[in-house]
Amino acid sequence: MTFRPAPARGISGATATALDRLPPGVLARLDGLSRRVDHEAGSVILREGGDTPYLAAVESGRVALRLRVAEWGDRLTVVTVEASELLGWSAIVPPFRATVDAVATEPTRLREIDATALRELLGTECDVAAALLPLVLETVTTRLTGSWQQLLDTFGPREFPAW
Amino acid sequence: MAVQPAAVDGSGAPAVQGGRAASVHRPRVGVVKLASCDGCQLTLLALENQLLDIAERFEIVEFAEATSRRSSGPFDVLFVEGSISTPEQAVEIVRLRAATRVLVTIGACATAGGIQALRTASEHEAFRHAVYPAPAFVDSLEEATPISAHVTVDAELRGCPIDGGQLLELLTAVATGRRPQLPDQAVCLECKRRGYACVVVSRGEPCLGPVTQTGCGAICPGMARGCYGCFGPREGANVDSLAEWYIDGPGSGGIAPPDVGRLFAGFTGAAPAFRGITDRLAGRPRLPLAVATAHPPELAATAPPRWSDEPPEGKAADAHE
Amino acid sequence: MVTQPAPTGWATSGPDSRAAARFLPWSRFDELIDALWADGRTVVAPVVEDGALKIAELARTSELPFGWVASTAPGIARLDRRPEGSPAAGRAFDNGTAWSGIKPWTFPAKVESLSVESGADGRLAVRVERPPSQPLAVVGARACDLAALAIHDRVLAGGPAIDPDYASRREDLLVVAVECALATSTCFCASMGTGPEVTSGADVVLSELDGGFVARADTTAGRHLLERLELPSAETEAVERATRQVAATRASMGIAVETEGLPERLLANLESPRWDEIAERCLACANCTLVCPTCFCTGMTVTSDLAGRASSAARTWDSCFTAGFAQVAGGGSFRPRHRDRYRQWLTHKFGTWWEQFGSSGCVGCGRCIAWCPVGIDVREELAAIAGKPLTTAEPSVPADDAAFAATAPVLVPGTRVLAIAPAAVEPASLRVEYVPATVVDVHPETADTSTLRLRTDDPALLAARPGQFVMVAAPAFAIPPISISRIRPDGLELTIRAAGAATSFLARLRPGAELALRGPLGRPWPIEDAEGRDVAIVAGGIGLAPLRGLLDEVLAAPDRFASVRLYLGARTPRDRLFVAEIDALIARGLDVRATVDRAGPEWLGRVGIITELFRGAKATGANVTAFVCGPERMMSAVVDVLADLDVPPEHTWLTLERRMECGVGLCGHCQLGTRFVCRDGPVFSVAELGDDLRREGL
Repeated sequence: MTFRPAPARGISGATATALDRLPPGVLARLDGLSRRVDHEAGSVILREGGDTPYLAAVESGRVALRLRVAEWGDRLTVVTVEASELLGWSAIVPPFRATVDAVATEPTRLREIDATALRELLGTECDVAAALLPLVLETVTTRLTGSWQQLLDTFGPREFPAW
Repeated sequence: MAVQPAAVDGSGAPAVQGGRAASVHRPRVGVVKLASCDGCQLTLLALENQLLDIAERFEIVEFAEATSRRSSGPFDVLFVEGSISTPEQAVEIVRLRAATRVLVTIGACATAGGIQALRTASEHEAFRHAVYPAPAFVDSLEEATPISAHVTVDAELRGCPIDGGQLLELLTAVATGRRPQLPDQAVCLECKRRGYACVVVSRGEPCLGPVTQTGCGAICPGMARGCYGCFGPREGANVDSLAEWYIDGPGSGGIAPPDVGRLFAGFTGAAPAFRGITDRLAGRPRLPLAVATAHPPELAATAPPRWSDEPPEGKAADAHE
Repeated sequence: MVTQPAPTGWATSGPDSRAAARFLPWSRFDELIDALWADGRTVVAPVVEDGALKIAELARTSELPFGWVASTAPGIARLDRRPEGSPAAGRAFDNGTAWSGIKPWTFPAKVESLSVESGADGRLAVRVERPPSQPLAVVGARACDLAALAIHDRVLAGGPAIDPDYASRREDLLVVAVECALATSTCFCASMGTGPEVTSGADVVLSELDGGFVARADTTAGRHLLERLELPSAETEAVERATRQVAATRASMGIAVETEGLPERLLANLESPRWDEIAERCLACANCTLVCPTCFCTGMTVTSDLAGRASSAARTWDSCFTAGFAQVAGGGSFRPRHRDRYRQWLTHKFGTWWEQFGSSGCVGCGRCIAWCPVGIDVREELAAIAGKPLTTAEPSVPADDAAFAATAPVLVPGTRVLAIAPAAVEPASLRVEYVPATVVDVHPETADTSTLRLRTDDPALLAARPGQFVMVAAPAFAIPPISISRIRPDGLELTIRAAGAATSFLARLRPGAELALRGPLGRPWPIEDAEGRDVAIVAGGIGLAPLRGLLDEVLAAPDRFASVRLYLGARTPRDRLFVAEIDALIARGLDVRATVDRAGPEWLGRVGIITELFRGAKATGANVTAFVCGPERMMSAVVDVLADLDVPPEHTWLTLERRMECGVGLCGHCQLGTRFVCRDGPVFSVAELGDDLRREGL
């Protein structure tokens, strides 16, 4: 017996990219700075400590954000970024360096907005900044609060005494 | 050191078949002492009805009070009596820990420093001279400290002396691989279960039961006197509130603050929760320094060291106001 | 004896009852005691022990506290001799309440309840201890004691589970009550509507006058007793004196507790700064709970032999003031601070008790005030927290004052009369017996978690429902509650994480081992609530175990539901449970979304907290029924996300973790607000829990 899929029922995930939530005018201006790029599974998109060349919206696929931790084989995934989320917030946050390695774990399509051009645009176009920055902040906040939850290690074994 | 909750058979987790642990060999048990009176060790010998059972289940490889057989380890279970009072003991306990899987401290000395830790509140040199005519031959540390200040301790049996029932419970837990039930509640629970009326309430007798860990069977309240805290502070001991009641309370109050402070300065007086209130209310005890420099014959004629009548620098008075 | 003709008082009774009032002169008091002994009863009564009044076994009448009088204040209880020659110096019961009450006799501090023994053949023998018949007579019980007894009847013998020891002792109890001629300063039974008049619960009621007692029988057993003594009728004048005496006692009770709306006022102030202030004074020594005649919380203490073959468990008085009381496997406590513990006690006693048991948990005996070693006065704390001032009644001249002539007892306005609601559930519907089960397979799931497959032919266990749990007994260990992770035609599966000694032991068992199970217990997942709706099953870590049976049932008839989705969170990929099963379900088309909190490079799936699985989803949850299980912190985060997605709170179901020591609502450990998690849950809807969900968490 198989279960019938019911994609339209219940809590259904949105497939739109994060940028689709921007007003059309802002979106149009970003269009000029962006390009669609396909990354194969396994390709390194960002390197921890390296420059962040673009802010990207994940259109499909999955990107693992990894820290180099020896006991995890130098590749500990702390979070994955999926369709509808932003990648590379450090493109517009000084010092514009990636805080993690970002590696595609499956074929991934990104819509990449050039970092230099974007920073310039944000410096001059207040309406673009006003629309885009909350989205970026939301991304950072999500990572932050997610880290808090992970810090609690809620699923982990609670410590118990020697006995 | 994390000890897994497994039967201590020297081989890690035991094979469990048909719901029973099949021991591979008898756990090697040692009983050693540091700075102490030997009373707690004797509690083991006092378990007369269970001694044969214990000897059958455990291989007692070191126990100076019971056998001339000696061992320096390794131990599956080591009962350590006494506090660390000399430099040699500070070294020895590290060696013992390394040779031991489950280290259990027994008694007020090992768990809180014991009566000898009261010297921590005084000038060490003066104390040495007061006690020993020729202290040059005595190599003691300035502080007597509990074992837990030096090495990781897996379980504590409190009391002066320890309770035989708790010791048997611990041995049983070790033998069966479960956690020993050593409650951290106040003495009051056992006191009321046994049907003793509260001596604080019915007589105004100062009692440390509400802030002291249970395990003794509420012996002292059972004799209509106050608990003197030999099991040491319990979890969440609210010593400030109790002390305040003995100073100012309508029923039991009227005790001078320094005397209230000294109520806590007993066998477990060096435990931080008790020590704090003693220091605050009674101040540091002073020894007459004249004694410290006295020649032995004169020493014999001198009054023994005593607690000061007044707390120094109005410390207690400040705390009290 | 629990027979109950209409309760009567001295003055309120009709002419017949008045005629039935007898006079028992002191010279014949021994005949009463002799009659009780002749019936084979142990007789207990107030005696002086260690400078206090205590209910103890009476060897002779002269042991009664003749001429003693108690005085109390917060933190103080003293017993003094009345002056020689004073009228009351010849009285034995005119002296206040005994500190320990009658609870130690009806509900002893320690009672052997269960023994588990592993035989040479590996078979397990489990015996639930049944107390022998032990006929008891209490002489000198007070109105507050009897009100407390009525509360215990409801709590311990009113169902759905019945404490066998209590029920047996209660069956054999005969009560000779004495109405109080003296209220000490801590007494407030008049406020709580429980006294000082004895209106119910006694077989015989006495009122002590100089020279003897006015006596009446309130039950058949009491009537038989008095008839045997062939006592003369009481003079009308004596009956009136008895009436005036107890009325004077009522009038002399000073400070009252404002009971009007008290539960609501108290529960509205759960964040009062006063709780912190009390915590500075409170020793959390538990004395208040141990002298309280209604406090019923107990713990299970297990002792075993050195061989680990036999153990016995005893039901032992415990207290919500201890750290261990609200501790769960792994060491976390739901009430780490004194503040949490005092709040739990006071709000239960005066607040949530009403909803649980249909009455206040306080009978106004004042023992918790007098016997608090630092004199904390609940009357004062209630007034400070619940927000109404103390009302002080005019202290009156006690006893024998003509001013009280013919004053019938009148309840203080605004007092709720103690009324014990009948049990909501069929009594004794929760089983206390254990049945054997044999381990037939042990399947390791993760490094610390295993699934035990147990075979049993017990029909009740085989009829278990997903979400229920069993108590699992093995020799030498505490008896943990374990949720059922699968119900099979021939037994059960339990998925156990080694979080403590008992669970470690269980996780190490081998096929052939025998265990004893009690259950199934608790409220199951309400699968019917999801009928025709979209099912979202959300599991974090070991929380998947109690949901596995639900998943089985849902997937057995998927057409009953509009859709089914499974959301899984785990700590790392290696900590995922039932991996092969879940993969098989995915292969069959089930929509499974999984994430782990962290992962190595081999994991190509999603990483992030479980709420990330709902990121970007549209608010389309109105038709969803969600079943959520995991650590409380995770559940509260998931509940927030589901609410944002419009999943209705009455269709969001959780299973709570608490310390469940008895499993049937008798031990008090798992209390949460108005509920016992073991008995009323562990499954609750978010709507049912309300604010309780986040009030005490780990």
